[in-house]
Amino acid sequence: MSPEPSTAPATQVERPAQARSLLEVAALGKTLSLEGKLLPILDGVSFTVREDEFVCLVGPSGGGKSTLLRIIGGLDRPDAGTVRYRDVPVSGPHARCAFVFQTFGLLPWLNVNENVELGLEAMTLPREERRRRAAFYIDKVGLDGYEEAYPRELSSGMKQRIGLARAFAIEPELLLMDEPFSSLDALTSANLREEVIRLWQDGEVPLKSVIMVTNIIEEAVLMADRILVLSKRPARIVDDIRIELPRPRNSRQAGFHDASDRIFRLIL
Amino acid sequence: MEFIPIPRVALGKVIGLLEVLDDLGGRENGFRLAVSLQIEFGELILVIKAAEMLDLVQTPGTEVVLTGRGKELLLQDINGRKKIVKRQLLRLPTFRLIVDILKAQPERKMPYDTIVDVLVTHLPEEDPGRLARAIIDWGRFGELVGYNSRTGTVYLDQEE
Repeated sequence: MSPEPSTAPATQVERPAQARSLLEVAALGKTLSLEGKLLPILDGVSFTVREDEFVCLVGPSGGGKSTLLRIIGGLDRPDAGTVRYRDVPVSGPHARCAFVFQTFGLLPWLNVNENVELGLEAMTLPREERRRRAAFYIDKVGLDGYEEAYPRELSSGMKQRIGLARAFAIEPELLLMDEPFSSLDALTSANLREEVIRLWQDGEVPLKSVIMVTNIIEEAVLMADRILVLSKRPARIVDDIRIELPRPRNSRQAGFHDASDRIFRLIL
Repeated sequence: MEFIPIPRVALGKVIGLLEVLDDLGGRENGFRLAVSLQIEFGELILVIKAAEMLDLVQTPGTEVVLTGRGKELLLQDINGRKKIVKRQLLRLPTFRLIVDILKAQPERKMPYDTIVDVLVTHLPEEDPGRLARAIIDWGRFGELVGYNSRTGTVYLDQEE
């Protein structure tokens, strides 16, 4: 069983009452075989994500956070336990879910527009709808003016905006982000963190919830409604902390450092 | 008119700097900022200079301080921010030069190599290729100057 969310000392804010459950992860287990040895990665991981929640997964490096994210998105299969999305078992990649990766995953021979449209090709959408969506999300992530640019012409921050536009264009309800800012410098990531929160809150974007893996505790406290703290391998959930600091957040808010310190002590 | 080179700094970093400063209450010592962000001081100086060119920060002494325009930019969504950047770009003589030349062309476009030649004439001490790429990068962000690398054409995107 996952622990009940505990609340970090912070100012109380209004939350939607009884938000509906989007994702249920129950008793997940995963063991990898490495050079003939069995390596347990996940051990009895259970939690629920509701609509309109921004959840961060934090824990020691190499602790199975990315594996957990891949299983949730249907890119990997668990050895034990289940993942249910809107009460339907997840058995493979599903259309209501999109990924953003640390390494951008762009095709260098395609321009911005083509890279964004590429994400839509697997969907059976009319060509006009593909074009409309690509243009809409290119605008939403601030890539207007860059449509004809190739990845090599762009800064790393702009490349990650393409990754975001491509994920958003699928119009997922659940966005899965695996350390999306970790290959960016501190200034670029400060900029993109804030813009991801704006996109999540944007009423024109159908996205409901986000699960983001990060190794930076302050990043999790700046962005998340809830932080799931994972143990070292095999990963279990050792705490489920609700962050109720009002948004927009900054590190000078009362309660910010208490929440960060508490998570830091759990991971140490 | 003094043509000042455009630094090769991503505008995402400039806006990130504004966000970090805002987080710190609107001002911070430049050296302390470099240490806390773990950014090489020389690189941070370039970002600060870029922000100053666009009138988004001021640098009294060793401090970096958000300007009113910098604060205004932070209140906007990404497209509002791009509009402010565009307004500021049009105040820079180097951008004005390129925009005016593009405007004078029949289809408001010209070859990249011609832009490089123009820059050699007006900013002879700068690396013209580097400067042209910086102009295209900022111009794209502000939706002011576009570039098609397939055809090697620089064009006026939307002037107003």
